[in-house]
Amino acid sequence: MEWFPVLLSLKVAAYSTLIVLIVGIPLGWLLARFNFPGKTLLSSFITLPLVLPPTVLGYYLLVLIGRQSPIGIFLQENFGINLIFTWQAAVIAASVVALPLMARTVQAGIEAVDRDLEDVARTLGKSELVIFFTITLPLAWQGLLAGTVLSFARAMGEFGATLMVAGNIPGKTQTLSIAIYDAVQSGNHQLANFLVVLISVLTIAVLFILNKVSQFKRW
Amino acid sequence: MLKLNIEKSIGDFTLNKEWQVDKGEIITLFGPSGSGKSITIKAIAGLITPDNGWIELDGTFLFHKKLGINLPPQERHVGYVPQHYALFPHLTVLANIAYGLKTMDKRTWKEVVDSLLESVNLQDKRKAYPHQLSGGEKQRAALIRAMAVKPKVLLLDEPFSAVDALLREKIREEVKEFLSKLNIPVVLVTHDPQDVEALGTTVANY
Repeated sequence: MEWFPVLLSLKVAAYSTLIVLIVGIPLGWLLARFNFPGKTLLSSFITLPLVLPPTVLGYYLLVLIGRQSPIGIFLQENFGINLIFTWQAAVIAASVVALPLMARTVQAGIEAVDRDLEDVARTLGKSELVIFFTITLPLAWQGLLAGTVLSFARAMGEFGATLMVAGNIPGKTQTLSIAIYDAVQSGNHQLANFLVVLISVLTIAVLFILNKVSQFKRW
Repeated sequence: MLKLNIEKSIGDFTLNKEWQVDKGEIITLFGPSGSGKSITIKAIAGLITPDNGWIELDGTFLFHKKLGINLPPQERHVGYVPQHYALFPHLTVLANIAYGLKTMDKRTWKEVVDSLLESVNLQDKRKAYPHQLSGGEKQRAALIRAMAVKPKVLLLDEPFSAVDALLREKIREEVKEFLSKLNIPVVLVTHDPQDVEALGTTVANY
């Protein structure tokens, strides 16, 4: 059996989950606790990848990081890097589609934290950043966990945007979802069945664990 | 000495209050809900900014609209106990009380916390989480957490509303005794006339 697509998808999902955590947590905090001009606009913009067709997102990404784009030219001229049709492009695509899931669930988790707790911490002399890491984030851990699992699952299953920017190169950028599509197209039903069962079992297992863990209360 | 004269509009409602309270004294802010008692307390703590006026504590302004002074809550040295105590649910009683002290060296803050716990009879509960405490114990834990950082004023928002009626009298006595030992101004908010009667303090009507 062909394990490369499975391992590649796991790698892409792991990297993009990490990226989405680093970007999504501050975004969720910003949306939950701060008021600033353009908040509604930012909020809509973050949700966009959730509603736009993945191929449209992929097209935007092509325009943004492709060979002819300013970013593409900059990377090529200074570092000799070309992102298009690499697994790194798949990570970027997966991060973009997974970001709204992380930012939204973290936001909801933080909104559920009692503001009185943060207020008391302020009167006890703690800075906003210390309060965030010692009070707000630990109490929003369920939202954080849900966001991580959802983002990972979304990144694992990414198809449309990934195909546009990373292509379908077996042994290089062919992820699990794309390998399934490819197997069905070429009539290799044995491979398609194997991959489909594998991803189904994996997903159910992850959701089951998530449910178990979110029922667990530490205090 | 805490003195204030503040104005704050929220929607159609305008709050406009002036009062003062001396060291070792308690002032009770008494009135129906929605009359601006909690807003006043939060304004003193620096959690809400008044539209106009000033707040003065021990001769320095915490807030002064015209002079452009508005200290953040971190620099005001107020002890704040909100309505449902707001103990940090993921931290033990010990960690709750030590939360504001962590900048001291470990031995000093341990001594401070231990003597505070003993002062209100909570030394056996140091490893308990807030949800394992009774209403009165939560109350006492929240009080000493606020006092741990040596505040210059203590603010109590509806301290008895979260305890059931049977226990209220006992806890009122406990709190009254606790407060009588403090040498700072205390501001206490309530909508219950019985609290006003039992505590027998100066009253500011809202």
